[in-house]
Amino acid sequence: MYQMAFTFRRPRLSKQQRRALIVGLLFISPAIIGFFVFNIGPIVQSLQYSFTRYNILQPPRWVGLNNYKFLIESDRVFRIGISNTLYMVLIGLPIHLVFNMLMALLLNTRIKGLSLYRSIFYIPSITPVVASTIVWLWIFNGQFGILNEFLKFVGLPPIGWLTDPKWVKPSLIFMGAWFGGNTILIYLASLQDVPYDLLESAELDGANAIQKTFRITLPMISPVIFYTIIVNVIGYFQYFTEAWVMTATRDGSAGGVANSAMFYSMYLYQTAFQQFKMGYASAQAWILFMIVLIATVFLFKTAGWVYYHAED
Amino acid sequence: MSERIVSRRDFLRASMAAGTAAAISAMPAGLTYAQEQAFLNYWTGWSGFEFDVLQGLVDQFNEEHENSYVNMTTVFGQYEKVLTAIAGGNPPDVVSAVWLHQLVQIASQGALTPLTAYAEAAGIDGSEYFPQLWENWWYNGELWGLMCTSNARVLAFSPPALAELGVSEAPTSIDELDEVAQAFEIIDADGNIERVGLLPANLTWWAHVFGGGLYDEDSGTITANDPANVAALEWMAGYWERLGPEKVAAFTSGFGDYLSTQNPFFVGKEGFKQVGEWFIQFQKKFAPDLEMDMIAAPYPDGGRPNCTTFGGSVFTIPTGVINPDAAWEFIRWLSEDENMGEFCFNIQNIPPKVGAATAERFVSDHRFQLALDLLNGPNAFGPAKIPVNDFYNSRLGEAETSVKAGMLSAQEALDRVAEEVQRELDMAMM
Repeated sequence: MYQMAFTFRRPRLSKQQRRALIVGLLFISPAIIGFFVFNIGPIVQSLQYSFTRYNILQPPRWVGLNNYKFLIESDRVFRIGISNTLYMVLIGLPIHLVFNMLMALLLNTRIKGLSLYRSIFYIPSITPVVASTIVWLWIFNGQFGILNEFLKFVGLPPIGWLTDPKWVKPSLIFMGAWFGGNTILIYLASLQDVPYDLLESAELDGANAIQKTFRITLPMISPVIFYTIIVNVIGYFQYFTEAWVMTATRDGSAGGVANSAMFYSMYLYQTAFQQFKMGYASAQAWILFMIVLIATVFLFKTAGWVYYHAED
Repeated sequence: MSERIVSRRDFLRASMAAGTAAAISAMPAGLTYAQEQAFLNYWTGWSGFEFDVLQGLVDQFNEEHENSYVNMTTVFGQYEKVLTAIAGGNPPDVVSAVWLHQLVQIASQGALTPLTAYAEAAGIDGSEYFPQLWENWWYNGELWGLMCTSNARVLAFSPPALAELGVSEAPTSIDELDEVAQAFEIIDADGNIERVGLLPANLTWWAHVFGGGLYDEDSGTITANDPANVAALEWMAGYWERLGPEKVAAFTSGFGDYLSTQNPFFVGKEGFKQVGEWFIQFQKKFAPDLEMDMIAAPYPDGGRPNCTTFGGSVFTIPTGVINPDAAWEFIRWLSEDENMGEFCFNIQNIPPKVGAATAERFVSDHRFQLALDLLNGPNAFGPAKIPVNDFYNSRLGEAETSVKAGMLSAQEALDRVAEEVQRELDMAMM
């Protein structure tokens, strides 16, 4: 019955099948309608707005490519946003992925109390980001924070983790390691899928632990690594919550000292929902989309290192 | 086919019951208003004990007005909600979460209902208000809001703390201020700050104190890089340069919450604090044992004596509200001398009306009298009446932090601000 539905010839449906099809479509119609009304609609509309000046309260005014031109040629904060975001993608993300992989490798060993460790490393991922970030605000606190207490203990000067422009982004990367639970879990699951016979035969051939990791384990899980890179690159281009919560001030602005923690999405948000320049913000959103698209295509084009193991 | 466990009718009944229950539980608790009343949603920027004081007045209004019911909500820290709600066609009926510096911007976007006709009908012609405040609520020939509270900036300090340093007179010049502030500092052997005399903030204020300004109304020019402004920023950043930007950053990141007993001034970590008259009430509440006095900003040669900047929240009616008449009635009632005075007294803000502000209960406190004199003096400056003040402030804030962090010179930073804000202003005026 199902095969019939997938043939290229126009299927002749019986009355019962047609009824089933209508019922099925009706059941998924909320999702389809929702997708078109709340996703596709606004996406198309935002493209249209990106060529206008629009503050929501007054009708949009067509300005052609001016928003894009101004963003690229003249908007200094926009450039800061791009460079800060690239910093996170090119420096923060690799650090996090390597760290998460190391944690997964450690949690894949046979040691006592393993399930307890696994739970401990996963718990931060189920804590709301805002709540964890507020805890980290205290950890980074210049005077009473545990990090500076530690520095004092070992005889080092305190650091303005979030108030010194040089330290803000490294601090955010440092904190980001805390939220790696999901990636660790994905890596861990894939590590357990690595065929044991391959590892065993390598061992018989005299391979040591490092050789086994780099020659067998990592190639075997490379599709999973590739997946986490893609997902996280997209996520890091939209980096927002942690930086916003960390640097928000009483008057509702954010971005840290001298915009040292002004990320692309934060500036987009400020433009759209604090300055209400919706046309300009739409142009920013489309540029971000293009950047993410190019990055993703580039990753796929250079994915020769990914090994897809075919089961016999 | 399996047997139907729940009949269609039962299912519908259960759905209706669940829907009704959900609707009832979603209704705000404690609201008791009759159907024929005008239900007014009022969004305020006040929170904490100030919200409670205002709630007392709202309750009184509700008791006195059978035809209206005001439901107050705070949007403290989420001010962008206001424009989103107006734009979304579901505005609150009254909003006071509009800062004076934003009024022109929001009004020019078409987000507010003009109050000119209402004020005229109510006989409010501005004669009872401080003229500089009244003038600030007008734009394009229309009145856009009324303030029920106002603020003027002053410098707070603790006389006993100064006496410990052998200082009996509060500083009046910038040189004296620097001297006392430095004497107050405690720095450990590694250069870490334990106590600081002053960390100058808010360039807008100091720019005016130094004789500068941010906007020239006659020529429509942004004057962020006025030489006096540059001098002010250089002086401010001088504190960072001397103490070390990293050291200041580490020190200030340990500051407790402003609205709490842990405010760095209350715990003796700051010698001078830039505040407004509202801080009198904060001190009474959070540091009742602290002896606190206030002075006008000390000024340099060529600067302005008794200089202050003023601001506050403006009560406005958004466009598209269902019942603007009832909304106006609430604003008008709150603007009556008695009600305005009661609110201002309990949160120690300056009433914008001369009669209410000069009542004995206010001026018997010499600190309050000082703030009032400054607000009413020749060197009191309100925000520029331009539609890009938020943008201007964010760029000024960035310039200030960049210069303090030693990343740019004051001249470079303010040249950049002048150029970028002028461009933004020109575009907004197009």
